[in-house]
Amino acid sequence: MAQPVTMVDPRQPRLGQGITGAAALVGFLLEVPAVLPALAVILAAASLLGPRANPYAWLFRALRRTGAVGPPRELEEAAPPRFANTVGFVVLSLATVARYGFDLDWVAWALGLLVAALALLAAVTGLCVGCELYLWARRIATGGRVRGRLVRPVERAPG
Amino acid sequence: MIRLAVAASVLLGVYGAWLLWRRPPRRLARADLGGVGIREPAIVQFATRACGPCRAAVPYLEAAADRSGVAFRQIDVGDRPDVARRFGIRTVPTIAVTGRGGRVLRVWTEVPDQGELTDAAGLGPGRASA
Repeated sequence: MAQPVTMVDPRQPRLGQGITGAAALVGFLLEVPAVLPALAVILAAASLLGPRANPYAWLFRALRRTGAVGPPRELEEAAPPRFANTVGFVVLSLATVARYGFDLDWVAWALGLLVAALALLAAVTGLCVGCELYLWARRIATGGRVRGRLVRPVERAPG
Repeated sequence: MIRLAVAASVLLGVYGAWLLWRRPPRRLARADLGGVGIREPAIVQFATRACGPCRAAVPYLEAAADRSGVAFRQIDVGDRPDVARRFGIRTVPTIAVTGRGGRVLRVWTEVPDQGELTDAAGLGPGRASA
């Protein structure tokens, strides 16, 4: 029997990507290295513990409740953006170790800027490199039996 | 100031790489889609099931095809990765206009204006009356 697939409003990961990218960029510009471990912790919670521990999901749900964000037109599979969060968490953790463990500022900020650029690219254009990595890995792991990302149109807007 | 320059360079570099990535594929621009069953003048969308913009573009492309009197066809490159490889399609939606025999006349990697679509099909208002 097929396992149920967790779905997510695609605007929620894009909001998270925008915040992550902007925070990493501002941290770099203002020389605030604490932003690297802070973002690593947020992405760790989002990737390892799921939506219940994802601060971006909390924010998005709050925006939905206030009516600032309308109902979704479609839902997409949650696994690819969650994997992208994991990639961000790993890269930012390496940046944190480089900065605080080895005093390698330039390595830390190179990794931080990489995350900032890719997160902002995903937020602005929708091209999520981490999600694409997940899909490539899944295609390889399943020998091409599972090909694409699952997206379902929302027939009836949830209340 | 140096930090600002570095950040701007990285962001511009990533954005530039994205623009290069989504250039219309040359192989498709020189192709003939007869081999994938499109042998008539048509507006063709290369899409995947996961592509929200592709789904949103369907009514718009269907309307353009109706207005131009050509067919509207979709190819799911998620189901047909061989087609994506063959024509060098890297991004969806990729939209092509074909003429007789399925010869590709023009390619876009975003949804173009209705006017551009109908002009490319050689069926725009100016040419239709010629």
